[in-house]
Amino acid sequence: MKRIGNFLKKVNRQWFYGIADGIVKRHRNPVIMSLFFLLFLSSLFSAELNFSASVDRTIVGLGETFTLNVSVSGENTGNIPSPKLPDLLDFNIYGRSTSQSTNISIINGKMVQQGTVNFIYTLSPKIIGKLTIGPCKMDYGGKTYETQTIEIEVVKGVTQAPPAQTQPPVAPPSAGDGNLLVLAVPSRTEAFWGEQINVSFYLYTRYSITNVEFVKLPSFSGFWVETLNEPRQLNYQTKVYNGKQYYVALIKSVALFPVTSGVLKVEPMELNVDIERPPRDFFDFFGINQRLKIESKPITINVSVLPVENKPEDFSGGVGKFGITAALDRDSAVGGAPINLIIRVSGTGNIRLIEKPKIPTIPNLKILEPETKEDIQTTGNTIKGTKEFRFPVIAQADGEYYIPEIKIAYFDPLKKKYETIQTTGLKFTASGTSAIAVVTEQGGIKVLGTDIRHIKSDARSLSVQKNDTPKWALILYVISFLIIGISLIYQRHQSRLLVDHAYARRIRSGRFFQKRMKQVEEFLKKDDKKNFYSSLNKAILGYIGDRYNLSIGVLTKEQLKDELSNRGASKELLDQLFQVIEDCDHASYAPQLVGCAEPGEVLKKVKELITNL
Amino acid sequence: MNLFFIILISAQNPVELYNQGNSYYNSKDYQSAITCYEQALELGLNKDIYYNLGNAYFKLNKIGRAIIQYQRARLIAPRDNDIIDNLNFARNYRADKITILENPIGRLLSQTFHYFSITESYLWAAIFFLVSAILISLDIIYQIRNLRFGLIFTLLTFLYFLITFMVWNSEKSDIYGVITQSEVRAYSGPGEEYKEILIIHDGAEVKIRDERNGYYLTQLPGGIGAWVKSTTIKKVFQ
Repeated sequence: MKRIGNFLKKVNRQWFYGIADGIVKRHRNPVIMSLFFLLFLSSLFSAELNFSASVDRTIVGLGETFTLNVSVSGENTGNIPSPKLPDLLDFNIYGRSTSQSTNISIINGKMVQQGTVNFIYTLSPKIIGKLTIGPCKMDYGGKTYETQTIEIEVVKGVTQAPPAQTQPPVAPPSAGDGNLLVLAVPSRTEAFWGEQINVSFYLYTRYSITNVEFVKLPSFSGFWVETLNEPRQLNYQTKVYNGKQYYVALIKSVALFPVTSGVLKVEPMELNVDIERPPRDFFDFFGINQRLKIESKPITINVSVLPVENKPEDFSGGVGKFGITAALDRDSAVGGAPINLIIRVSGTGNIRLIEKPKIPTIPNLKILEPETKEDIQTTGNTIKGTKEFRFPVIAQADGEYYIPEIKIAYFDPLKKKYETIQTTGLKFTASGTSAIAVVTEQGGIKVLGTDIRHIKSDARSLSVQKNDTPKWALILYVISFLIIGISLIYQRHQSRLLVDHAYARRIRSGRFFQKRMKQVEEFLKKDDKKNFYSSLNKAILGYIGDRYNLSIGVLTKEQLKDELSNRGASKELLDQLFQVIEDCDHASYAPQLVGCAEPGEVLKKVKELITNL
Repeated sequence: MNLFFIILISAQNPVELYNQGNSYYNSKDYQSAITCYEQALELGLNKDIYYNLGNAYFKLNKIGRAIIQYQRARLIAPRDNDIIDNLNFARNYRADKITILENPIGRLLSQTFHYFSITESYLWAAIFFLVSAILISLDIIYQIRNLRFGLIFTLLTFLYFLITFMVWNSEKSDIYGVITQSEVRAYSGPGEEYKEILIIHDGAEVKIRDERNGYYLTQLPGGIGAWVKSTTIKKVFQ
């Protein structure tokens, strides 16, 4: 430990110097350097030291020795000077020794170094009477430390048995020889129901022990037990018991909470202890291990009943000191989902024995059985903890709910009276609860039986209703297909008119002929024979040109006739037609000629011929 | 028999017959009511007559015949809740409890395609087909692209009515029959000499798969097939 301490000290310093070096190197300004040096010094010496003196006993027999321990502790104990002892004229100083220890702990992430140096002086009084050891002094870091004065009473004769550790018992060891015992020490023997009682089991020994084994642990019937301490390694201390000095170690300590009342008994604890038997003679060098069985004495504890008078109704069974809080895990419940009401009782005492608090009934709220959780901790010799009750709460109607204050009572054994604690009221809203069907039990419709629905009433007239398909509806389908067919044909015609010139001329030929004929008829009405014949001639030729997609201007009449006969016009018809054309030609040039027929008849004939063409 | 009816029934037009049937029904003379309703139906079909006839049969505890009448009424008026209610009531009332697991999607589909009657769906299908045709021809001639959405809608509607019609048409087919006797023995073959395999009760709805020697090969809702005397079964639509 000491080595580690020194090492850490070294490391600490190196780190410190390192930083200082860095700063110095970076800032060669002498002012900063000197400032830093001052800071460094102050950090070295600013730490307070604890300087005290004590003696191992204050009553000493004349001629006996006792020790004076001057102890210095503080953060920096590296180079502590020896303290100046006061004038010890009435004492002989037999010896002086020093012990040093360093303790490093990290508190809040900061390394704290605590060193202790003990200067131990062995003193012996020279005279009988009340003697005083004056204050010891020490100068360190510019300060002078002083201890208090100690008074020593020196009596005649021997006050103390010789130190045990140097003289183990010589008689052969046995379980009942008083050199090895286990003691059960209760913290009290009178308690209230539910009040904590600590029982510690100590092993007292004057032998050197190699192994300890539990044979039987007490059953602690009538108690709820929490283990406080059960050290894995026995930690011995010296203690005087019945005038003898023992090594004493704690084996086990428990906290007991009586759950019944009356005189309760803590059963003895049995142990198997292996001891190293002291050597019988000079040659029995190593000694022999020996097993001894020891047991503690039973303890009786008087448990009194909790006072009946003023016992509150909402007493929860808690004995100790408790607090209560309540919370909801959510502020609003949607769609009938449960919300949790969490009630926490925490404090010291028999926390496990606390029963669930009573929650008043709230209209339209369904409060289910709680889920309980305990969290028990032992700190030192007290049992602390929290008990959590988690009540699922289901709202059965929309609205705002208020959970009133919840009270519980407990018994405070120190004050010897009952205390009542309470939570704060809580609020929450519920919505969408209609999603869950709530069956109302009262005022509902009672179903007595079922029957078919009644017949339809009388009629003044009854229409004959068909249950088959009207055949005439098929016409609609026919019409539908016709519409589509016609539109397809029409669309094809339209597109051909755009693309096919000959087709377009042929289609329009009739219309154009009619137009021209109208003109011809007008000339006839006016009796303008010349124009009549020439326009008639134009109309006929125009029609032929349109109908057969021919350019009339470039063809002679003979060529035209051949062309038409090639396209399937009848010979006779063509002859007649061309006769008319010729006549018209003649007539248009010489209208006074009488060789022609009447214009009206010619017109009639032309129409007939064109229709037949 | 015929003479008896003539004496009993004075009315001659369907409305009077129907009203007379109702008065017989109300005075709990269900047999006479049935005669009146059946006479009225011979003069013209009407869902109310079918419905009341079904009720009269039900009151006489003839579940099978009641179911047939309700089904006939439902074919004409599928949206009449009285008919559907009584049909379901009669079905639940029969002795053979045949549990058919109904899944909600199937039920919804069935309701969707039974909303319009067979006549309505047939007519609407034709009308929507005509509208579709007009839209198609407009598209062909004028090439109006915006019409296409309307066209899709009308075609889908047409399809809906077509399916409805087909559903009804298949249900109307003469393979559906109902047991009309209180207890019917079913055999493994067409004849009493075959092994008796089932006892079917009044109101069981079956499909008629085959006919031989006066026996029907019937298929029960579970899929079981058995031969039953054809006189014990009445076809729903005939």
